Parts: sequence; structure tokens; C-alpha cells
Amino acid sequence: MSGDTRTFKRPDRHEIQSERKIQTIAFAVSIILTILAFGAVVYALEQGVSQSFAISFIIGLAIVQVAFQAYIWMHLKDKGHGVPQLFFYIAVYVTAMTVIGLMLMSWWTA
Amino acid sequence: MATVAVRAESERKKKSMLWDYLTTVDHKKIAHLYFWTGLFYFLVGGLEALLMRTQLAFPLNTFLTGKAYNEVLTMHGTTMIFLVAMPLLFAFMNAVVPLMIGARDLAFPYVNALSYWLYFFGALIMHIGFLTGDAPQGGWTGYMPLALSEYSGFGMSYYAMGLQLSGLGTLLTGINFVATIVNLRAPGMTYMRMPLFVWTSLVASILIMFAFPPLTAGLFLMIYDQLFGGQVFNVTGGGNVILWQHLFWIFGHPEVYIVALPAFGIFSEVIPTFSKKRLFGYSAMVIATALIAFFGFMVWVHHMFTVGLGPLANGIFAAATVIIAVPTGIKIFNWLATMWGGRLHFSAAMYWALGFIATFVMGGVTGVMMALPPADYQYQDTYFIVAHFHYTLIGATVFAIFSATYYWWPKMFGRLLNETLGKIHFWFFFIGFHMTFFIQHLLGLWGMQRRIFTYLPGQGFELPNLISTMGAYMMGIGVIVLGINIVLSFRKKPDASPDPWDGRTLEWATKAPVPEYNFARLPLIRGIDALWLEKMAGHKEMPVIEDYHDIHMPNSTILPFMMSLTLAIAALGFIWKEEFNHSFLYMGIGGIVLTLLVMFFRSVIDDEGYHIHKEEIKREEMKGVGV
Amino acid sequence: MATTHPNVLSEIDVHGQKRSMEAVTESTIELVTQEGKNKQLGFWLFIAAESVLFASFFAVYLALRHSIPNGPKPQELFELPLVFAATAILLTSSFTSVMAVMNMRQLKSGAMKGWLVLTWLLGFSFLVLEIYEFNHYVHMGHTFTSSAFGTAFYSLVGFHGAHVVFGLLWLMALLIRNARREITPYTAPKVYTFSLYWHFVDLVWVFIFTIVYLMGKVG
Repeated sequence: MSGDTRTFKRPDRHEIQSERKIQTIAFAVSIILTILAFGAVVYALEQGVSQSFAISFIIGLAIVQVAFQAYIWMHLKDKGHGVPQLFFYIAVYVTAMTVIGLMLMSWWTA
Repeated sequence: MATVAVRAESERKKKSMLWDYLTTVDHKKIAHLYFWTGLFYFLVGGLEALLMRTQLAFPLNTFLTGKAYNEVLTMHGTTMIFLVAMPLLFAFMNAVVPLMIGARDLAFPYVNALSYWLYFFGALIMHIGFLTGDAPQGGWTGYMPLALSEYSGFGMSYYAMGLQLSGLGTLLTGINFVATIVNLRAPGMTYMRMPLFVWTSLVASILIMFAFPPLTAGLFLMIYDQLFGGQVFNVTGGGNVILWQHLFWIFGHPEVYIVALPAFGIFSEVIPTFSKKRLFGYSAMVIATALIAFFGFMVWVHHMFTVGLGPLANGIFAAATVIIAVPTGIKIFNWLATMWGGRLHFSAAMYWALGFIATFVMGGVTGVMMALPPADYQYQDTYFIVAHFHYTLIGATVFAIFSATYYWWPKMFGRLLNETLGKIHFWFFFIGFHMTFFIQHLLGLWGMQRRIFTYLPGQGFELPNLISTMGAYMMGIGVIVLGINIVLSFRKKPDASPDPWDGRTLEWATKAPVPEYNFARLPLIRGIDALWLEKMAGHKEMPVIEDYHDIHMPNSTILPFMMSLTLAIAALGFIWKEEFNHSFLYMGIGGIVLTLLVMFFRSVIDDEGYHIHKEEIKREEMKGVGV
Repeated sequence: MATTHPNVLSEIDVHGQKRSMEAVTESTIELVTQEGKNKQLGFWLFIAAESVLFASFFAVYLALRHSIPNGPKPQELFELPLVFAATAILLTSSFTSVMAVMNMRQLKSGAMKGWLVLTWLLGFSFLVLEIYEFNHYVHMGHTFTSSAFGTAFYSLVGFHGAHVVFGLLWLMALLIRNARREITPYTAPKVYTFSLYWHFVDLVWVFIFTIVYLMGKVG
């Protein structure tokens, strides 16, 4: 196919180091968010804290963790990822419609 | 890395036609496959329609009753939507989209072939029930709990498995076209210079990508409940039957836009060409297409107004439904504005475009009527609904397919269809269509329910049903005329001009027949209606961005056929383990293992294609006109 | 817009930019070929579609997670320490695949393969834990057919597990296939695509442990 005659630039030391740092930070953040989520649930069960608050909290943590992993580990932050980003958000929109719609209408008829 | 072989033309043409088509990954040949298979199932679905109409011509008729009628009813809907409308649209998308954007093939030719064979085998699986005595009979919508085995036998398992397979093919096609249109446009073809058919194919492909997964999930759950003891739709196990409806319609509503948008795209090509005037309001058309798709995901509950979800849910979805009429209306006005002041040429293709405008608008307005829940309580499950969706589906999708057939026949087959026969086809089909379906609006309002195999006399239904049946037979005659036209066209040699309609878009710049590699030298695009632009500037050819060079082509392969076959074997094994004997489970598992083996085989073999030598390309190009 | 017919092959004016026939430099090896670019985009598209597929299973699970006429309830079934261990293992395996791609981009073939083998071992450990867990549930009476909750649970979590199995088979095929090959613009997209898939599998797991296990414990 046409478009094959390109070369690429091997990353230099500085780029490698900053890339490794970012990826490792994403890993650390994911671990921390996971521990927080499990911890929140254990705490909620022991202390009898409001169930819906705990649920909102852990869902929030999940969303943040997914954002970190998608943007950093899956390189959505990199140049040339406009179209993948667009489709990621379309998927979010359709998911929201599906999950929210189904949930609301299964639990609550008004 | 092995050096890629150069293969001479004589060597490439050595295969038999059967093997050529079984192993092709060329989008143009795959288009042929989709077209002929789709046309075949159109005849099957049409026959099913005639069987139903024959039964309903007289009250208390005994021609086709009970379970048999329900099977024909279910298969008519399922076939027409999944095995006819979408494949025929894919045929045109495959044939034309790469040419319109100046590409040499789709982004993933192997996957393109796989998509076709999955459709082929999926369609076969759906029909095997006719042989085992248990064809699908739960309606094309497969509502629960009717679709479970205790009420519908194993027919709906054939439906679920067949649909799962061909649905997978469709999903892969959606991804393929998005990747192609995003990545493989020729230089100069920005998004806002793409022909409308490419835009609508892109948006429809995005819809496919996001609408088919809920159906896939629903079908998996249906299969689990029918064949593996699942409890998702079984109330005694704690299941919820409405969940099926939600999953199905979250798919189902975008689905109707998946079949409508490419149809709109076809008309956005045909109307400007035969009005000798550019499409009015290009940007508005693009935005309207995107809006229709966006809102299309927010309206699914309008198929469920009478389920009892309550006035709040109904109200929200009613509002969203009414909104969709706006971008659709904008498109209609823009098509009219395109024709206004143009130099109209009434070719057969153009007849269908004009018929579409009238018919689809009628279907659209009944849609707005149904969008209001209190009114819908009267229309739901009556012939009013049947009339509405036939007006929209046939008015848009079927008319577009017929129009595209006449319009792109020379590009796909190198021959022209006879225009006079085309017009005869049009009049029989168009008049027959309105005879069949207009009266069904009234039948619905007078109280005739849908999905019934007979009705009592003395309710005033007799004459309308008879008229409706006569109309259906007229439509049948129209289709026969088309068949004759097709046969006659193949009696001629493929010597049609490469640009018989004085076209505006890039596909008409290719030679006839279109060479394997589409364009010897990729063109440079300088505006909307790229070819027309060059014609108006007095050029005979498109400008190019490169010199002749060896062109790299993908190899043919039997693997897509094999993989679809092994998946079909697995599907049948899982059904037959319940229907006949538990040992068929091993056939099911075996099929899955074989599929994984084919995938493994594909991955580890280096398949780097072959080159066509630039001398050969130059020779071919010097023979004819075009790029 | 010019009305002259360029057909000059070395410099064409495209959107006001001179485009020459000299090679354009990409930033990473997997994007050098058109095929590599197509694969990356195509796989992202596939991921977007699969996300909606998983979303549908999530929606069904959320609708049916309280429908348990027979069988144990989530609070009785789920053991958080085990789930946490499995989560940590899968998360780490996703990280090791990131390291593999980083080394691939530096053309360090040996290091890349090492990280990939580590990814496989971690992924396999996750699978072993999950099979052990499911076996335990079956003995407690929570099966695919015991209730709507059961079918919904196994449909969702089992579907994810099937993705893990497929991923391990894929990775094994990649490792075998590339054992004696170098990192080239032809082989690089294959590894990159796998890593996207593996990250996706971990992404879905984040929602699974949150919505199925954590929410299941809370109620």
C-alpha cells in the first residue's frame, strides 16, 4: 500500500526516561486507587457508612483509574490519537445511554 | 522477511471463477458476492411476503396457517432486514466507496472477505430450521418469553445463532469502513470534500459499531437461556423479559438508520448527477446525517410505549423521537433544492429517487404520528405500524437499492441495464407498493391486528386485504422485470463506457472494467465533486500525485471461508445438542477449536501479498481512458 | 483554487502544504507502514465496539443482581482478599505489557520478549485464581443456571475470563511466532495491537471488581 516509505525516529534517552516515569506513575496511581476502593468498601461494611455514598465513591475511583489507564497506558494522550479518542467518547456515550436507560427503567417506573 | 513476488497477469487469471470468488479479498468481487446473495434472499423474502399476502387475501383462508404462517412471517422480516437490506447496501458500499475516496481497497481486505462468509453461513444457519421442522417463529424481534424453547421450539436458536454469525460479519464491516474512510482517503480529500455516499457510509458504519454489540449481548443471553439453562429471561429463575426488549431495541432503532442512511447517501449521488447540479447544502447534509445518528441512540423506547414503563420514560423518548424528524426533513428539502433549477434527466435511477421522496415522506409523517405515546396506544400492534415501516424501509432502502442498481451497474459489471425495462420495473413496483401498503394504514385504524394469520369476515377487512394482496403481486411482477433486465444485460459483452452518466464523483474516473488495483496512480482531490471539478476545468483526467510504480496487492485466501464454516459447525453443534442428542456438544466445542486453529494458522503464516509490475500497469493504462 | 493541471510529481500543493515524495518521519516503529496505522486505528475501533458489548452485559448484571430466588447472595460469596490479589496481578500484567512496548520501540528485542513472558505468567496466574474462585462458587450453589443473578454474573465475569484466555493464547502464538524474528515495522504492530487488547482487558476488570465484587459486598 502507499504510505509505506516512512522511517521512524528511535527515542533518545531523555524521551525513554520521561516515558518510563509517566507509565510507572500510572501504575502506582492505579494501585493506590484500587487499594482506596477496596479500603472504602471494607470501611463502609465495618462502620455501617451509607451504602450509596460508598458506591458513588468507588465508581468515581473506577472512572479515574480507567482514564489513567486509557490515556497513559493505551497512549490516548499521544499525537495522532484524535480518532481513537473520538470513538472512546462515543463508546462512553452509548454505554451511558445503555446502562442508565436500562437501570432506570428496570428499577423505577414513573 | 521474504521478498514479495511479482505476479504476472497471466498467472493471476489462471484460477477458476469459483475458486476466485471463494478466496477473493478484493472489495469489487466481494461486492458481487454480497449483491448476488442479497438478491437471492430478496427473492426468498419476497416469496415469503407473497405467501402471507395470499393467505390474507380472504378471511378464514387455510392456505398457510398457524405455526407455518408464523415461521414465514418471522423469516420474512428477518431475511429482509438482515439478509437483504444490509448486504445489498454493503454490496454498493464495497463496490463504490474505495473508488470514491481514491483508495486501492478497504483497510482490511481479509476481514472484508470474512464478513461476507460469516453472512453467507449465518444466513444458511437461519434457514436450516426449515429442514429440521423448526424454523424461527418468534417474530424478527424475538420477544421473550415467546422466543424460549418451551414456546417456540428450537427455531429461535437457529435465528439466534445465524444472526450472531452474520452480525459478527456486519460489525467487522462497520469497523473496516470506518478505518478505510479515516485512513485511506487520497491526498486532498478532506472530510468535507467526501461524496455524501461516503459520509453516510461512514456514519452508518459508526452506528453499526455501536448498535450491534447490544444485539450481540442479547443474542448470547438468548442462546444461554435456550441452550445452556440460563435464567436471564425466565421469570421463575428471577429473570426479566423486558430486558430483552431493551437490548433488542437499543440495537433495533439505530439499525433502521443503518439501512436508511446509506440509502440517503445513494440518493445524494443520484439526484445531483441527474439534475446536473451539485448537491444543495453539503454541510447541512453532513450535519443532518450526524444528528440523525446521534439522536438515533436516544429513542429506542418508542418501540416499547405500550410496555408499561410509565409516562415519564415514554415522554422523554417521545420528545427525542420527534426531534429526529427535523434533520431528516432538512435532507428532503435539500434534495428538492438540488433538483430545483437543475437540468433533469429522467433515467431509471432517477425515477426511484423521485419515488423515494414521495414515499419516504409519507412514511416519515406516520412516524411522527406514532411518536406520541397516547396515539401509539391505538396504533401499536396494528397494521398501521406495518404500513409505516414498509413505507420507510421500502421507500428508502429498497428504492435506493434499485436506484443504485441502475446507477452503478456499469461500474460493477461493465454493462448497462436497459432503461425502458427499468422504467417498467419502476411503475409495476411503485404502483403495486402503494396498493399494497397504503390501504394497510386504514386497516390498522379500522382495527386489524398485525401478526395474525387470518381474520373473521364481516369487519370490513375483506376488500382492503384483497387489494393489498393484488398490489403485492404487482410488486412481484416488477421484480420479475428486473430479473429479466439483469439476465439480458449479461447477454451483452462488458463494454459499457466507464462514465455513462457524465458523473461527478471519483468512481467514474476509473477505467472499465475497474482494474484490480483501482487506480494506477492515486489522484489528487481539489474539491467536492472532484471529477466534475476537473471536467469543468477542461481536463480529461484527474491530476495524480505519483508516477507508475509496482503495486502491492493482498493475496487471495480460503481462510475466511474456512473460519466461517468452522464457526457455523460450532453453532449447529450447540443447537443440535439440545434438539437431537447431547453428544453434539462435541461438535460445538470442536467447531470452536477449529476456528481458533484457523486463526492461529492465519497469524503464524507470513502472508505478504504480491506485486503487480509497473510495466504491466502502464500497458493497461495506455489502453483506456481514466487514471 | 488553481485551474492548471499540475501533474507535477515532486511537489503538489495540498491544503497549502508542500508535500514531497521524500520519506516522512513517524515517531514510533509501529506506525511506519500504512498497514501498521490501519491496525492501530482498527483495533481502537474494535475496542470501542467491545466496550459497548461489555456495557450491555454490565447493564443486564445491574438489572438482575438482586434476582436470587435460589442460591447464595453476593455478600456470602465474594471474598475480597482473593479478588484484590487477582486485581493486583492483572494490573501488574498490564504494566508489564507497557514495559514490553517501551522496549519494542527502542528495538530491544530480548527485553521486550522478557516483559511479554512475564505478562503471560501473570495473566495465567489471574486465570488460575479465577478458575479456583468459580469452582468454589459452584460448590456453594452459585452456578450459571441457579438464578438470573447466576447467569448474569457468569455471563459478565465469564465473558471477561474468556477474553483473558483468548489473550493468553494470542500472546503465546505471538511469542512462538516471533521467537526468532527481529522487531521490524512489519512485526511491531502485532505486539502493539496485543498490548492494546491486554490493557482493554484490564480496563474492563476495573469496572468488574468495582461493580460486581465491591458493590456486591456493600449491597
